[in-house]
Amino acid sequence: MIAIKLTITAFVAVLLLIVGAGWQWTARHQPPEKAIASHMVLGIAAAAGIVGLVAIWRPRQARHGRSQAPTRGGHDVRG
Amino acid sequence: MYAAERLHASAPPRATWLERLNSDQHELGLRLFMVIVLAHWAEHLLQAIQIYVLGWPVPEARGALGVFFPSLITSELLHYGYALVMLVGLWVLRLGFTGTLDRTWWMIAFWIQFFHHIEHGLLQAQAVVGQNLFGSPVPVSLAQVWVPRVELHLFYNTIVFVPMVVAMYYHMFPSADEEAPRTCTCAWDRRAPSPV
Repeated sequence: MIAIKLTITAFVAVLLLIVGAGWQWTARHQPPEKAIASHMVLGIAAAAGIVGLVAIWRPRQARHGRSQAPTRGGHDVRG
Repeated sequence: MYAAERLHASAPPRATWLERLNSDQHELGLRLFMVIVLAHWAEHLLQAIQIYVLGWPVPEARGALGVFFPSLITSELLHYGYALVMLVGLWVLRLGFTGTLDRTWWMIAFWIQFFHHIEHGLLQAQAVVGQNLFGSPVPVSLAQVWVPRVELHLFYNTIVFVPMVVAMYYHMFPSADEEAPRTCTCAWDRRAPSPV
C-alpha cells in the first residue's frame, strides 16, 4: 500500500511542480486578464492534487487488517 | 468469508461482457484504462514542460507525438475521441466500484469528464461545421473564452484524474467499515492466501 501511496504522491508532486512553473510562466507571458484566469484554474488543479493526497494519506483502518501489508503471492482469486 | 467472496469474483457462465468487465475482468480493465490515461497525461505534461520549462513557443509545443505528427495536436477529432474513450471507460467500469467511497470518487471523475466531453464536443462541432463560437478564428470551448487552452487542459485532466486515482486507491484498499461485497479481484487483501 505504501508503494502505491508514494507513487501517487510522486505523480502529484510532479504535477504541482508543473503547475508552479505554469503559474510563473503565465504571469510573465499572458495578458493580465488571461493570467488571472490561468492562475485560477492552475490553483484549482493544485488544490485538487492536494485534496487527493489528503484522501489517500488520511488515517483509516484497512479492511481485514491486511491492507497495511498486502500479500501479493499465494492463491489468486482469479484461479 | 474469502471463499464466498471468491465466488463473486468470477462472472457467471452466461455473464454479459459488461458483467465480466466489472467482475473477473475489472482489474485488467482498470489497468488498460490507466495505461491510456497515463499516455494521454504524458503528452499534456510534456507539452506543459516544453512551454513552461523549456520556453518553447506555444504553437511549437506539441508533446511527444505531436512533434513527429503535428496534425495529431490540431485534430479536434483526436481530442474528442480521447474524451469519449475516457467518458465511456469511466462509465462502463463504474459497476465494479461497489464500495461507497470508491464509487463516489469514481462518479465525481465521471461527471467532471462528462462536462469536459461536452466541451470537446463543442470544439469538434465547430471543426465539422466550419464556424467557430464567438467569432473566434479557431474552435473554442466555453471555458476557453476566459482560460487559455494549455492551462485549461491541465486543469481538466487534473480534476478528472485525481478523483479517479483516489477511487482506484479506495477500491484497491477498502476500509474496514466497507460492507459492500466486492465483485472483482482488484482489492489487494483479496490476493492473500485463502484461510479456508
